[in-house]
Amino acid sequence: MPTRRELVRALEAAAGRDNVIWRPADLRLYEYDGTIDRMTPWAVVLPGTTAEVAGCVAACERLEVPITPRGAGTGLSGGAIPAKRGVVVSTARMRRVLDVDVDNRTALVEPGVANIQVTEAVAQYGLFYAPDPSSQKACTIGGNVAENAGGPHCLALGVTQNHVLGLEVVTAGGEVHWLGGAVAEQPGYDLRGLFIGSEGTLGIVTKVLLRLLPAPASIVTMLAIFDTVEEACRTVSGIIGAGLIPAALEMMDALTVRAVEAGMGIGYPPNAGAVLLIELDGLQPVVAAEATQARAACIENGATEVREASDPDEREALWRGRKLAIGSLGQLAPNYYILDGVVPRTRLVETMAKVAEVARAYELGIANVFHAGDGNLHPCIVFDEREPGATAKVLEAGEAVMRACVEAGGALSGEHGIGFEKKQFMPWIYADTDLENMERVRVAWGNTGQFNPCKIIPGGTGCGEMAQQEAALQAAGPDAYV
Amino acid sequence: MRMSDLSVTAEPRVAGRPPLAVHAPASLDELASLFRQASDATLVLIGGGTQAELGNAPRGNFELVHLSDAIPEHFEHQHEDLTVDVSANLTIDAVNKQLADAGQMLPLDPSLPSRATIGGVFATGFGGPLRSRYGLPRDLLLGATVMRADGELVKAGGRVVKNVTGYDLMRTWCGSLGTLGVFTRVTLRVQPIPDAVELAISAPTADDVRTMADRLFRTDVRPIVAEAAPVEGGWTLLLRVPRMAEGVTRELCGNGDNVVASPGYETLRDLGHDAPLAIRVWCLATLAPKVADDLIALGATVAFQPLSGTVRAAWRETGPTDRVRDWIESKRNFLRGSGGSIVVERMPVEWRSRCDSWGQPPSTLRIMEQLKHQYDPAGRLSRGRFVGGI
Repeated sequence: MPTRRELVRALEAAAGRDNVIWRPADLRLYEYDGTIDRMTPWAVVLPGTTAEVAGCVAACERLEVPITPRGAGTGLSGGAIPAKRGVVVSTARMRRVLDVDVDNRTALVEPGVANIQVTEAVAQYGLFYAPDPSSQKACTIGGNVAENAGGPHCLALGVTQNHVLGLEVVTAGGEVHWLGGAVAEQPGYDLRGLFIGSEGTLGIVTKVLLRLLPAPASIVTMLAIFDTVEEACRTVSGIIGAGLIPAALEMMDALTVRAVEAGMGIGYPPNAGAVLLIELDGLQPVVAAEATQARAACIENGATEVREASDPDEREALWRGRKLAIGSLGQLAPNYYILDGVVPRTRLVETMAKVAEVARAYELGIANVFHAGDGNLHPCIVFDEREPGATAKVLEAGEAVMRACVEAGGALSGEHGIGFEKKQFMPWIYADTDLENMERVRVAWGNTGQFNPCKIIPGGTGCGEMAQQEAALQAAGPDAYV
Repeated sequence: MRMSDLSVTAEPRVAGRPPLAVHAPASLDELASLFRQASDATLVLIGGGTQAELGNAPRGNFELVHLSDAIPEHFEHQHEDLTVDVSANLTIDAVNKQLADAGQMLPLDPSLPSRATIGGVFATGFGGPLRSRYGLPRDLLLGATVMRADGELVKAGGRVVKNVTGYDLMRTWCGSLGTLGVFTRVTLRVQPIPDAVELAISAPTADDVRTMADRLFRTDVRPIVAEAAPVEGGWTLLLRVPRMAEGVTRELCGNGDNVVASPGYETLRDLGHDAPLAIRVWCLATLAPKVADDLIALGATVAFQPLSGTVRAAWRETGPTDRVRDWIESKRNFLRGSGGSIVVERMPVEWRSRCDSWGQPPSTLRIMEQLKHQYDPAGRLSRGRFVGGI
């Protein structure tokens, strides 16, 4: 075991004296992400180049110290938390857009670039980057790669897997490699595809080649209001069943609407049981026809009102409620805990009913905002951490919701990842042989157990010590995301 | 339901070499036993046999394994969810026939769909004309079960369209030519059968084809098929577009209706399936027109997919010359810098010692070898056929 001084010296040699953080007060910033888990690293290093990243990984390997990559720390599964302490490698200094190739519609970026920065950089060419998680103003592309991030516009366009062409990575074993490339088809194993969604356990991304799309010709955004979540869910099925694949299909329930209205006064009817945000884009005549069909599906399933944006300002207003929904939860209670589950679309109604049952059984408020078109739900449990036993209750309720998702034929995560939070549930989905099979992936990439340990696959020694400090529970606020 | 209808020839060969033995296991247990047998021979796995020529010759002795009867037939369609669970031995046509009952289809179209199996299309990972709209096979795979070289069945993924639950082994297995395991069952996304029209538009040059296709894409006409073939005096671009986009399409393409008709979707899809030499060039869409022109000058029959930058070419008996082989080698070197490659899907036996099916392996070969070592250390599955001699 190295001393802290040895460790700091080795990291300074790799990334420069100014780029190593080791003072306890400074380390506090790096002990958390978007979840309720905490663990303080021994040091944080901020490399600025691929070579520096490789140097940091090599130093940690030589000193046999755990290493955990970190983007913006907005993750919602504990992926960036240094479960066994050690070193956090932050990509905060690697945030340049390196190149935009307009003819081939690609952009080469460093991993610390914020998601929204990409679209901002390419909008002038009539292009955009499709995956748009709600945290996009802060979350990084590197983090998006790690978690195979989604977002509202992934319904029609796909998730990060479908928009990342190539990756330069420093593997867990310390080697620098390019995975994939500008041409999607390549002979060999799709290592790029294996790396995406590997939650920072196989290496650190140092460059990303992104696929860009032309901005759509025509957009229609509608907000439909219902008395019940069930009617809204049936509308979703109706729309998809009619052969439409909208650009986005987002739902919010009564509790969320109440919070949004209390916090922002957007103009949602305060007694709405559920609202459905529908966006269609593409060729004007096609979009117009689809809008008619979508509107009909809403009315058929009991919509009390359907509003349509007639200009970009109105469109932004309709979206504002959805984008700031989580931030509004502070109106309901001081704390919240976001869940991420996914079920086949046809099982949405029954799953939402089960979520409501869990809320009743545990006497907790659960506000639901989610990507209805994908069956990807985000029940948000609102509570007050100061109440004795509240946190434990919340975690139990969360587990009950996850069980409901798995029982409905779903998965454990639609877009936030397994991380630390959910690895204990993996045996619900996978047999021991499947988990052992996945463990072999790590070995192949040079992860001998020190690279982002205690994530995804259950087991592993020394993983039970993540502190859940009382004062550290996530407080709801205007900059919160889901 | 009809399974793959493979006519076993008297002497089945792979890359021109005869197998030591031919097996047709009748169950998954028998297949697993076969995998576990101590033997220095490697196993080459055959579904519909439509891509048996792909890849290099197996290293050492090999035995052929017909998979059709080993896998229990399974078809479960969740039509409202747009997903389907199918056993890997079903043919593309058989699956599509059942999906059509609900107005849906597989968003992939390999050549010879009456013989090509689900397992086979994911083992090779190649896209057909529908790739222009729906992406590669790996983008359609939501979940999969494979039998590993040690006979163990393992799975990854699930049934839902958004999933970050463990490693994406589905994408790793896709295109691995069975070297990491054999697909037994998969869950796929399906699509509604689009209400579409087919048009053949003429264009003077390959560059014009690309410009037209790109213009359509940028204007939100998302062609379902965009496949071009050379004809007398130029090119013909076969388009399949949503019916509601027909007017815009004709406008954008200059209303150049073709005098010489396109060879047609099926011919283009099945190009080269029985040719002595057939190649597949993957390159940037901006570089593809020049590749297409080169190939015509070399006497090939060509199918050019402007939206993806894929160019397929096939030659008849007298076609495969040294000149063609030299072109392949030098073009591979040229394209490598921009991420392009050339796969030689079928080649004359005489070429085998001088032409690698895949080209020079990427530097990530090390990681690929590690994965192979993890999942099939003894090389029981398709040893030597894959990239870099894996």
